[in-house]
Amino acid sequence: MTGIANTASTRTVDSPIPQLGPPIRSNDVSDTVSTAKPAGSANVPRARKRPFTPAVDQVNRVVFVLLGLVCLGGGLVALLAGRGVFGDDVTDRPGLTAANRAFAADHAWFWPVVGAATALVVVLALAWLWLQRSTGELTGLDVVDDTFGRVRVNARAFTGAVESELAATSGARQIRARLLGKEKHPLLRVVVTMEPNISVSRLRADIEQVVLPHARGALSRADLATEVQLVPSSGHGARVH
Amino acid sequence: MRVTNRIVAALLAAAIAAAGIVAIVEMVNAAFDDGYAVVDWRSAAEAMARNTWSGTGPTVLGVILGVVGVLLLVLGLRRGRLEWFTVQPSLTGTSTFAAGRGVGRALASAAEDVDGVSRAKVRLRRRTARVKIEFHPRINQDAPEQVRDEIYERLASFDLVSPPKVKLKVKASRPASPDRGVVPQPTSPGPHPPAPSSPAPSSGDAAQALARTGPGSSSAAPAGQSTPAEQSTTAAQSTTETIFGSSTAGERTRSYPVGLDLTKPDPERTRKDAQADAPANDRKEDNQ
Repeated sequence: MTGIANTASTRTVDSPIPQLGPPIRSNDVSDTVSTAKPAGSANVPRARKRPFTPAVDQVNRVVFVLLGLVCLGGGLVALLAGRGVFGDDVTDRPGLTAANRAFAADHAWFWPVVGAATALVVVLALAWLWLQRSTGELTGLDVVDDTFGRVRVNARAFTGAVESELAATSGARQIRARLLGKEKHPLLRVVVTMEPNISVSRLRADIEQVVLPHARGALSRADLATEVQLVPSSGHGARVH
Repeated sequence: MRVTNRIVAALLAAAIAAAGIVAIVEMVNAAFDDGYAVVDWRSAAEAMARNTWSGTGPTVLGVILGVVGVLLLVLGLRRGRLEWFTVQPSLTGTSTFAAGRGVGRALASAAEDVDGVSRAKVRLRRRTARVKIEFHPRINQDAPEQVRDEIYERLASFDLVSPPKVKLKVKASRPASPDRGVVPQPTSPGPHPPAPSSPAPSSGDAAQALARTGPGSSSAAPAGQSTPAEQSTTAAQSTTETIFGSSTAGERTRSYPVGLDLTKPDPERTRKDAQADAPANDRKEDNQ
């Protein structure tokens, strides 16, 4: 056992989060805030400016904008054509002319192409529908994956252990942990409902300096991104000084 | 917002997929036997061939499409309600956020903890926090300043990257009325009309006054007994007595239009006391 491994085992002896993978190297991540660099180590994840949102929510917004533009554009063209913006001959012309019908009848490729395009739209729509059931949560994470085998951690068990450790933190009324993102870039989200009279900085320090290093060490993932969401609870207590 | 988007997206995706499948079925069906299976597309094609662009049908269709497009654009571009404030990042690379609603609750709680503040309402936006408080000026006149300090202190404790700018709106719960005080407040020497229809003292004030004056004393004389000039004179004399300590009992016994005056002599009570003391004195004399 190396010195680092001993440190890790000492550190996790009281923690409900088990040490599952090999100990992470000290230059990958530091347990203490004072010695860590903000972005000096490539493995230390950079802090996000916004909370993590599942990819499907961003896809929804993009599709809404595209479909909205298509619908709005089509509606405007129909209204403008009826008001004579494109000329009087267009205004008095029916929506489906004999020339249109003749074009479809004269070209054998027309309907197969329309059918294929429609099928593509159907496939995309079904894929979009399937995406809606995604919550962005990971079911598990590979801790060890080498020639001797694979160790996979169940996400629910892992987050349960994190919640158990955080429950002992003073000032935390309710804890909820989730493992989000992708296998390559996992994200541990911890939602902490705070007591009304607790210092935010102290609570943050407790979480970041004790619990999160345990979580990173347990998964042997120094690059495990973490996101803490603090929810101040209502109540009248002593003021925070 | 996300839940709404999910529901709308699921419905829209299902509708598009269903329409596409029906279209494909109709295309295949038309290619084989020249009929329709689900939707009578022949009548639809005839209607399209009959209606011109200036007709009612295309116009209504254009309006519907435009409205749907605007709604979808709103859903796609709207940022939604404020949910999270970004907290200063730590050196461990941990992203920390504070819930906007929770921060608002904490600010309201901090404001309500100040003495004299009866109600506080916080409306939080991304850049501004509008705090509306109701306070009793007679309990704590410095409540607005204290609330401001408390809110800034509370906001600072969250260590936000861009804390919202606080806009404080103050509302006095009940204006301090000179008529409701035990001792009349200094008034201007000009004519001051009486306020016979002024609100009655609250039960707490009345109880305190009762405890001070005794149950037998009358709390206020009828307002109609004195002219406004007399009332202002009386108030000014009471103030003079308060400041200089000189006895003006003769002046004060004239009229007491409104409010309670502890210094007012009570002739009725004096007469009753005298009547009560008379038998006792008689008994003493008999014993002697």
